[in-house]
Amino acid sequence: MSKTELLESKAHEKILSPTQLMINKFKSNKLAMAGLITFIIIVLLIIGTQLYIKFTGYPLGIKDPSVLGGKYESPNAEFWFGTDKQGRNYFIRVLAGGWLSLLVAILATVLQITIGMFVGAVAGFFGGRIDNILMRITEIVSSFPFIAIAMTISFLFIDMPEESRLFIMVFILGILRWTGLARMVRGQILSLREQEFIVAAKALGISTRHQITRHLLPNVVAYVIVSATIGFATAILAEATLAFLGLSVAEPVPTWGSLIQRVKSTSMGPRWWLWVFPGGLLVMFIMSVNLIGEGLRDAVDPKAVAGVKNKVNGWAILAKFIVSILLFFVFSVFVSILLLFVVWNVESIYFFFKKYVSKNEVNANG
Amino acid sequence: MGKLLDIKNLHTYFFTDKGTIKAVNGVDLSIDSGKTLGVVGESGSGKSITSFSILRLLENPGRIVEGEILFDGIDLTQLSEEDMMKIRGNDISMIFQEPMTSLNPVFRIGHQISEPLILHQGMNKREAWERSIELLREVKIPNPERVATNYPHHLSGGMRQRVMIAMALACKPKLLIADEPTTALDVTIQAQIFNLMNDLKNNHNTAVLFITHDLGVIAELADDVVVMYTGEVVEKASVEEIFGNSKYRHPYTEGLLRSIPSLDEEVEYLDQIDGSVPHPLNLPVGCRFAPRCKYATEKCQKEIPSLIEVEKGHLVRCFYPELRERNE
Amino acid sequence: MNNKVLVETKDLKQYFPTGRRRNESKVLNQLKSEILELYRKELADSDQKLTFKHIIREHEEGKISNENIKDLIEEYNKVKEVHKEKLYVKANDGINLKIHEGETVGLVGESGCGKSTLGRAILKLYSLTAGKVLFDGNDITDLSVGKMKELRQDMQIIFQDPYSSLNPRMTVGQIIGEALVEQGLYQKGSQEWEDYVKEIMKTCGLDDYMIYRFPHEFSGGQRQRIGIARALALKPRFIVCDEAVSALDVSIQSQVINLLQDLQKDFGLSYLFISHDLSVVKHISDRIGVMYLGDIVELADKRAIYNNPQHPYTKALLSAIPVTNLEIARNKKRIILEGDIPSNVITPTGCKFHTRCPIAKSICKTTEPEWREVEKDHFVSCHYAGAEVK
Repeated sequence: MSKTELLESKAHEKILSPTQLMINKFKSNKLAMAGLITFIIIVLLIIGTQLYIKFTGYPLGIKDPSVLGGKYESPNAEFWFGTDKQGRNYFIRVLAGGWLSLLVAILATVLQITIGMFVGAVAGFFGGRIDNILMRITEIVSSFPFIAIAMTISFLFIDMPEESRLFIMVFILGILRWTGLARMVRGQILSLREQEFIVAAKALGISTRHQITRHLLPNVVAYVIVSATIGFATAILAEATLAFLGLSVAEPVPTWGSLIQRVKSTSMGPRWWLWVFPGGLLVMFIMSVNLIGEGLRDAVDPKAVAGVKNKVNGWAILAKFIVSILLFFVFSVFVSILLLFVVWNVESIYFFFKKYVSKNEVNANG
Repeated sequence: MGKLLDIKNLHTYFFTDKGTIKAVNGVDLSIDSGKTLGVVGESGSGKSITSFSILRLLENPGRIVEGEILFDGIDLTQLSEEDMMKIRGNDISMIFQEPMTSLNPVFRIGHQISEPLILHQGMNKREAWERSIELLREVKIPNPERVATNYPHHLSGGMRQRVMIAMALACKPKLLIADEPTTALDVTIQAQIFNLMNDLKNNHNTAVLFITHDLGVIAELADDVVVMYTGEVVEKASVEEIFGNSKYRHPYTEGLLRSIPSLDEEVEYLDQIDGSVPHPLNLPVGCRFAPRCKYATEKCQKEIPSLIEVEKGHLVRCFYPELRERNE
Repeated sequence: MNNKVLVETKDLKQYFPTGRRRNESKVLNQLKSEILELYRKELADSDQKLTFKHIIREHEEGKISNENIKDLIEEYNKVKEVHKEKLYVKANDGINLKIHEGETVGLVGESGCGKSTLGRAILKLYSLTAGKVLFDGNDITDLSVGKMKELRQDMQIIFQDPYSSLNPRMTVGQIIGEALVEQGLYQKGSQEWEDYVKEIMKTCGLDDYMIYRFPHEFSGGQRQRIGIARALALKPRFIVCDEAVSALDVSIQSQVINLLQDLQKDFGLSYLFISHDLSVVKHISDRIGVMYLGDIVELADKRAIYNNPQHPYTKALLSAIPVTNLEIARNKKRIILEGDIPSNVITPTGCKFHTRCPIAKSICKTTEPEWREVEKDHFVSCHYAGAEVK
């Protein structure tokens, strides 16, 4: 190849930016992609259900005989996830329960990122006294106990409608959970500031604002996204925890946490669908988010070799995806069954023990 | 006297997602005991990978695919991992480039030097500790009793490199591999270390494999020189032939020698080698150096030259090894 | 050579606070007990209860006649004075340097001698602790940020590490052209802007097609060329080359040195060339300054430095450089310096080099040597400049 030809071929070669390289690397991570696809499916299902409820005016609370089944029907062709005590379609309720979780998680994550990135960037860039003050504030905030504050607030705003009470709590969640992100951003910026390209920007007469927005933040964003996925997962879990403690919205609006909470320990074995479906969906959702986060972390790691687009058969990749998703589902179901089995046995052991004790007591009395 | 180390046709490849990187591609070299062999090359020439191959310290996806490494008549490539452990640090030791990271920060200096002594020489703790103080004295560390109880962060770069040398010499190895031991150090400290290494070599009759990118260092220390380029040996000769007035020289060696500014002469412009080292996955078809070679002909672009002996003990991988021949 | 002075520093000092204070309590306590012991021995008959304060008071009143005790007390007072002093990293400790138009001044020295700090201090990338920087005859020490921004067009810097000196998330075109937009010379994204960037790239030996690519696709040598193009784009008059070729392979190093020399000729640039490699500095510079622990110890024409070094440190540096000429390498008289470079926080008293100097006498420990001109344009600070070093 002559030199000019070489140049021309180089000129037409696809240019890959660092971001595109990261996407390529993420795409080649099968587990992360399985997580992403699971995530998308669950989110689409939740949004679809929500739209269905909005447009058909589907009554979540009212006992409409046309959509009602019998009391505690186990999963069947009509009611995929069975029915609850009121005979309501549990499938719809479980999926509708995800909506609030999703909203709450997105709101909390956005809050966390905004506060965390701002505080971290300012502390890291200006350093000195500003850094000192901001970091002390961060330490104080990170030592607030979340559950205790959540309960207090719940009592403070006891007169407010429950739904907005939940959002206030989520707001608190966002306000309290930004500290980790702020520390990370600050650390990143401190190490970036040592890099010579920042000194170069200064020497070139680039303004402080552009130094931060053009040179520092773009190099931090990847790490922020990774940390945001983890924040997202924790926010969903936190909402479930709040609901489980009864601090969230009440009937008839469902959330995953409250659905699980309503299951009485005696009905765990025989009415397993009441907690397996919301619980399984919650676990799957959190796991998929965590897998995405893990994949992103690998993708932004500069030490790993930059990926190059390989020419691989698209069908083969698709087949691999499907297999890995299937495996993932099978695994989740397997885990659920295992949990169920353990719980069932605990129940029977408990009853056996109870019987045994009472028999002895009777004997003793007699 | 037989060769202490004799590497024959060594091939070390890295099997990556994007293809096989032939980091070491058919290298032959040998060292007699008590001699110093200098290996020169730029980054990506495979000089460090060669030394890692000798000690079998390669990490995935690197593998020795072909060749023999005869050390004292034993082929190291065939040894089990257990036997190899007995050789590392005992018969062959290594000094690395970074004195800052090659010592463990949580152990005392004395403890770190004692370790191989306890492991290989069967000393008990007290004997090993005393021997390590002796070793520190031998590498001219002032106040060795105190330094032995220090942690690595108490010491400067030059001192750490001395400790590394003391560690490497602990078991009186037959071969010492020094991988750019002074690159991270200042010139005055470098001079101290060279002085020390020369003394030790003369006292212990240790063979040294000295890897560096600095031709000046080679001229000071080595008896024989191997010049490497893209995983191949391009020239092998005694130090006098490389730096003296030999009739034969590889164009790459010539270019390297000319491109270093000299303290003694003044020139308006430095000679330069154009271009850069080719990507290991995209090596030229013919002679590896042809695209950057001033003298390259049609033949060089198409055929791969072999290493030919032009004088006794002087090997050059070039179709036109003679200086006169090329200049016409 | 054009004799107009372009850059000048006057007694430039650059200290960085370490956040610690000097702690000499061990020495103080030792001196205290020594004084008490000696005093008791001398005046064993007096049975009055002695306190240290009492002795000090007696000393102040001039009642103590014993010379040994007097000396000890004086030493105690001296140490007490520096005790609890704030500690600084003294990166530059009074630098006077002139750089003429079109000239290359080389700075050599070992790590920690403050040569990189000096380069950056001249560019006002730090705020100076003391002293002045003059550019083109104007004092730029206290310029406002806005004024300094304009001046940045005239003075630029090239870095050592071709990897960390380029922002990985910007294309080559953005890296080179950013400052042009920021300084208001070109409209962002305009055709003229792109043409100019391409022209600069061509000058630095980069091909057109690279403009939309990211730094990670290039080798070390090409990245260094990008860094040079970035500095050159503003058409500066003065460039600090901070170890600009130290991280490059030998064959690439000569390419970059030649490029720098070509650019100097074409654009009439002045360089401050900072490197630890004396042979590279000697090749490219007109004058060379040798630095040790924050001071310039010798400054002269490159031939004078090489043929007639005056300072023992310069001699040691020159002798320590490995050379490829076998005859010279084998016959050279080596001066091996003992010990390590002292810390630049608590620097040695007197001449800073006395701890390692092979010819140091007692005066070197106490008195700082003067900065004097031994020959025309050959400056050195040493009590025994030119003395034979063994």
